[in-house]
Amino acid sequence: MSYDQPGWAQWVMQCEQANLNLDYLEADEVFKACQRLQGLLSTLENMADAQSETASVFQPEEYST
Amino acid sequence: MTALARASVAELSSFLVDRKVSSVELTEALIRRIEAKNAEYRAFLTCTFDLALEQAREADDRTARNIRRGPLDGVPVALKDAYDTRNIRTTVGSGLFKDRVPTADSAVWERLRRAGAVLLGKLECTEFCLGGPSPDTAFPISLNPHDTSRYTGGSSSGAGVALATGMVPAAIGSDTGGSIRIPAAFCGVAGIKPTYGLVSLRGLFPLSGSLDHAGPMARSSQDCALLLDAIMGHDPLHPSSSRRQIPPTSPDISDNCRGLVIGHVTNFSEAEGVSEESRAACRRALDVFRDLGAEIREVRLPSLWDYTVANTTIMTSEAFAIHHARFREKLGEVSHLTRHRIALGAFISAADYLRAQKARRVLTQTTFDLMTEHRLDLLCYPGMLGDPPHIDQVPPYYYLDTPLITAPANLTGAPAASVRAGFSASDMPMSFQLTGHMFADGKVLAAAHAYERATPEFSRLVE
Repeated sequence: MSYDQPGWAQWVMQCEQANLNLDYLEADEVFKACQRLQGLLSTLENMADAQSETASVFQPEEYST
Repeated sequence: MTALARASVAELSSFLVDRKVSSVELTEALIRRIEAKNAEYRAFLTCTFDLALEQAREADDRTARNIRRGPLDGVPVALKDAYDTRNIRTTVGSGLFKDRVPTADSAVWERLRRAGAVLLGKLECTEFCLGGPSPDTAFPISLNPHDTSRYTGGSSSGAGVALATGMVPAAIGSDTGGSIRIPAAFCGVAGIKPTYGLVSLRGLFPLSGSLDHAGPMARSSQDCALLLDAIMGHDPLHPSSSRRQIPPTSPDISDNCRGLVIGHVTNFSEAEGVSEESRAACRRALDVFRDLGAEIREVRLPSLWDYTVANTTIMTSEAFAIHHARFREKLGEVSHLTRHRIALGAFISAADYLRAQKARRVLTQTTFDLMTEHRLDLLCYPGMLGDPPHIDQVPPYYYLDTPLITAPANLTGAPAASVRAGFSASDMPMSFQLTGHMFADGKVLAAAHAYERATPEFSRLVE
């Protein structure tokens, strides 16, 4: 289990804030998935830096040749 | 299986025009097929046989009066059960919606109905279009007819199964991370995720509005083109519907690829998790395209993981936003895989979401810049990583374990077809993907059709 992992207590608090009832979730699995996603998201840092254009509604016409 | 259950939409349409068969006879034949096979494979959640026969009689009346509405007039179809149909139960695969009966039709069904299509029923889909084969699903999951112990792929599962077993010649699925192309690939049929915005999403229950795509599934790319022509076009009643109009895609269909330049995305073929068999199937497909007159160039795009992470972040975040109130009240009534996948969205911050949206713009621009720079008409890469997993071995977060090879086209919005590429050593269908420039859906389908004509041995229905 992940109880002694860094970030666990904060993660449980996030669950409460989001009204997620942990009785219905395999908390260990969701916690690990969150950690994995955060790790993967950090790889996008360089691509989408603070200077890049702010996200807006996706318009396929913008990319049409 | 009867010849009518085996026939393509194009063939059925010509039978109806030539009055070799009536729509009522055709509809009755497919009803018998569904009655014989649905208990075994569970593709249909709701059958609408009385309505179908009524619509078939109307179609026959139009044929008799020489006022047919086009190639789909009198042709039976079925819809993923995420598309609203007026007065017909639409569950989105969830027990929470088991009694949900919409009061209006989805735009897709409006257009198909107007084209004269005959509705045989609503097809199983994984819960809220994001679930999977949990043991606790409210409705029985469809079974892969090529091996019932293996997953059909989701979320347009019933559509893949109904097509592969000859229960219906044409279906409509939806695709946010691969939900048309994955079941098409695993069940050995055809499907296209059209350009984002080309087909209206009105009345399709949303998973992630900025990534959702409505699109056709059939047993050939030519049939997909006929369906796409009927359902595409601007819809002023939905904000994501594009105003850009494209000509019908079905006339683009031809038997050669002369003049086409196809980019083989080598780093997708070599990506983590892609089996040697899938790679080889893609290489063989490229050889066929070369023989058909296409020029093949090898190119590299950003990492498949970048597309996967951006797509997963946006999709999961938007899905949680749609469902969070429902989750607060009824989390225990949502099936295991669905609640775990959607719950992940609760932990994605606004900053993470915006980072993924910014990455989407960068990755989309990079993808189309590369196509323009190399003068590519199409991109080609494997359809799936490998064989479909066994039903009891589908991980809740498979897209965090290995990259999702269908994600790039959802993120960029480019048209993307899943095309049959033979069978694996386990005798499961294999596939490759063809993607094109924005709004070049016709070119994607034309190339896929030429390939299918050159490889008829890959078309196999389940008796």
